[in-house]
Amino acid sequence: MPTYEEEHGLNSTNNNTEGERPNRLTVQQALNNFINTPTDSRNNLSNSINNSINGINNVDFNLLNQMMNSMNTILVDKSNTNNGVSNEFIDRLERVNVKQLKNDDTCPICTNEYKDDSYPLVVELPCNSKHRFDLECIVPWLKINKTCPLCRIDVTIKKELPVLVDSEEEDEDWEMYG
Amino acid sequence: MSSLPKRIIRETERLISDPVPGITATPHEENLRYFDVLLDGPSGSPYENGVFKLELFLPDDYPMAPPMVRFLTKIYHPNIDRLGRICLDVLKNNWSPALQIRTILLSIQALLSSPNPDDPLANEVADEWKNNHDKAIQTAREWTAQYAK
Ligand SMILES: [Zn+2]
Ligand SMILES: [Zn+2]
Repeated sequence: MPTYEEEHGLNSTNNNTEGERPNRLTVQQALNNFINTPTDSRNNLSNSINNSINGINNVDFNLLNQMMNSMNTILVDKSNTNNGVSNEFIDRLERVNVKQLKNDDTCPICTNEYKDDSYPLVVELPCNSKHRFDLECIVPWLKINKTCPLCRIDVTIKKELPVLVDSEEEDEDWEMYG
Repeated sequence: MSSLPKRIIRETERLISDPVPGITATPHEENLRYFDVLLDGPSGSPYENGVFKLELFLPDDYPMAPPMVRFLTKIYHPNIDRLGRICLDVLKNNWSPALQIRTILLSIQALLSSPNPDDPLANEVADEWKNNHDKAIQTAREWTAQYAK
């Protein structure tokens, strides 16, 4: 099966003949393909690479491929190491007693009814609405994200808040999250 | 290829039995993760009366990863480049596994109604959209009439 980049024309842009400097256009487009998520780190990366490419008319595509591969690795690594929650966090998630589950309650991720499983393991996130998910379904998400899939709240922040509200100064921080 | 998760089967069934107005999504027979999508241009937008073809692919790690979607029909829009790639937050860093194919397609329909030239994917189109708005709308209408039939 072709990769997303192949499918979405990264290679076909090599044949671009519309621009005055087709190779440079291709570089920009190729980079944009990777840098379409506007986080600061990616913008900085893209700026520095765009800057270093400005002024080069003929780009060695092997070099470009190497650059893109290493960029991709950096971006993927970042998302895997920095964005998820810890295993301890997952272990501490509140487990929902099966008696609290209604017959037609469904997991928002797999869309199955919890009670399809005779022994469901359902957890509650520490977001305001205490959204529920199959443990099996929420773990792969929390390994790469800190947010509740339903309300998008950073589930790691809320746990720390009770510690913060002791002083007035930090009450302001509270409002920032509220 | 591993067997199709129940969620995908359920989503597909619902897309067919209870379609979103103005959107049809039909899975390929030989690969049920691959959909042909037809999207009506929203009324009141320069894409009105156009029917746009898109393709949608559910990667192996869906729903942990978002669907991959692109326009096949040429479209003049500041957030869609000439390869049909779509700049839309829910398809990237704002994806959530609680979103579904239908919510994504609705978001794309909404993007046609409300382009965002400040977060462009097609830079020249975005410049035109901001600096020469009437002409940009006119071009979008012409492209719709020409390509989105
Ligand atoms: Zn589930
Ligand atoms: Zn929540």
